[in-house]
Amino acid sequence: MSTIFGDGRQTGRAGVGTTGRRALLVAGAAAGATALTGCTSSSGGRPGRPSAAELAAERAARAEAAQRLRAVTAARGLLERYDATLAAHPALAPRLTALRGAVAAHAKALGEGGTTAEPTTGPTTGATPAAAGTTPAPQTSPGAAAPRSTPSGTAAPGTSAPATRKPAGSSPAPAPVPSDPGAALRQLAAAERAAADGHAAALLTAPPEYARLLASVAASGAAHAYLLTEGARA
Amino acid sequence: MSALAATQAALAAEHAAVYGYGVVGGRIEAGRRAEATAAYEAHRARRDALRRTVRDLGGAPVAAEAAYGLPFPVADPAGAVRLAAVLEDRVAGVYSDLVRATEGRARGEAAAALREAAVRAVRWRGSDVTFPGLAERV
Repeated sequence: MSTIFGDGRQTGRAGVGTTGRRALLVAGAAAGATALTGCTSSSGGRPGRPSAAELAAERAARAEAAQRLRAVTAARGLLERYDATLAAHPALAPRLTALRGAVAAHAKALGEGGTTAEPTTGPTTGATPAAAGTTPAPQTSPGAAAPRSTPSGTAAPGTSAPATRKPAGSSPAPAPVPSDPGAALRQLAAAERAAADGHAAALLTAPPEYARLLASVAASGAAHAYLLTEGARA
Repeated sequence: MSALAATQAALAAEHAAVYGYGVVGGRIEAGRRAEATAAYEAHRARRDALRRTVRDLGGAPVAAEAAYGLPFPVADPAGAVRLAAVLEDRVAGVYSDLVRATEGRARGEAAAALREAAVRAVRWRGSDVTFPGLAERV
């Protein structure tokens, strides 16, 4: 795996949750850890106090999982915008289907490695975000189903609201799809751009390999935004 | 890959892109010439910035080759457009590596360059790739 930071003192150590070992190498870079101070887990059952290195590693692993959760949530919010737009404008399917497929692939890739660092924490109430890493299924939104581990204030603007299937009613729901197809495409492009901007901001504090993925997904989002708007006139 | 090595690789790719857009400009249809010129200028600017970065990192910037082999013969406007798309794809690849190899501002710049390359690529090609710059996922 990645040994980019070259500090091998913690590689090969087992039993630090489900996230990638490379998380251990970037404790210093994991500024996102501060977003999770309310999410301590002391249920490990190991006697004695964990060492500073273990605590740092755990913090880094949790921060990386939180980053994945944020990114997956953003990608899924975008996916649901596509679904809502397609439901409102079936005629746009030829234009949107491939782009939607790419966004689904993004959501899947961004969740690889899991979106929870400590699966033993908290109640196991069915729909846990741990499933985020394996399926792009949009039926549950991690942000809505499991607010206990959602990092506050890190979601991308415009996609932070966990979208429900129907764009109705309650205040956190996304705006309804415009009845004009052109306006609907512009709305979707804006959502792509917002998600891309969120990824671009997040990659600055992400571990190297995940930063690379985020940069690619952000670039793809910007390209989608182009195809959804400017590309229409070509 | 070290930040310096990744920056040198990006610089080498930008040298190639500048050369390649020279070829593109010679074959592109008139209606897209301005687009090709803008891309050429963008790559020149990135190249110059990368040269400075290499020096800042204590390296000697790699020089451009006298000429580059083209991936396919470019004989007409359609070929020019295809070449432009390929140039952007290749640049995207080195910038994704540069994102991985850097931190902070340099990483942000690399991500911005990747984003610009991906947008130019779809402009030329008319369709997207799912993971720009990630050869292992495409």
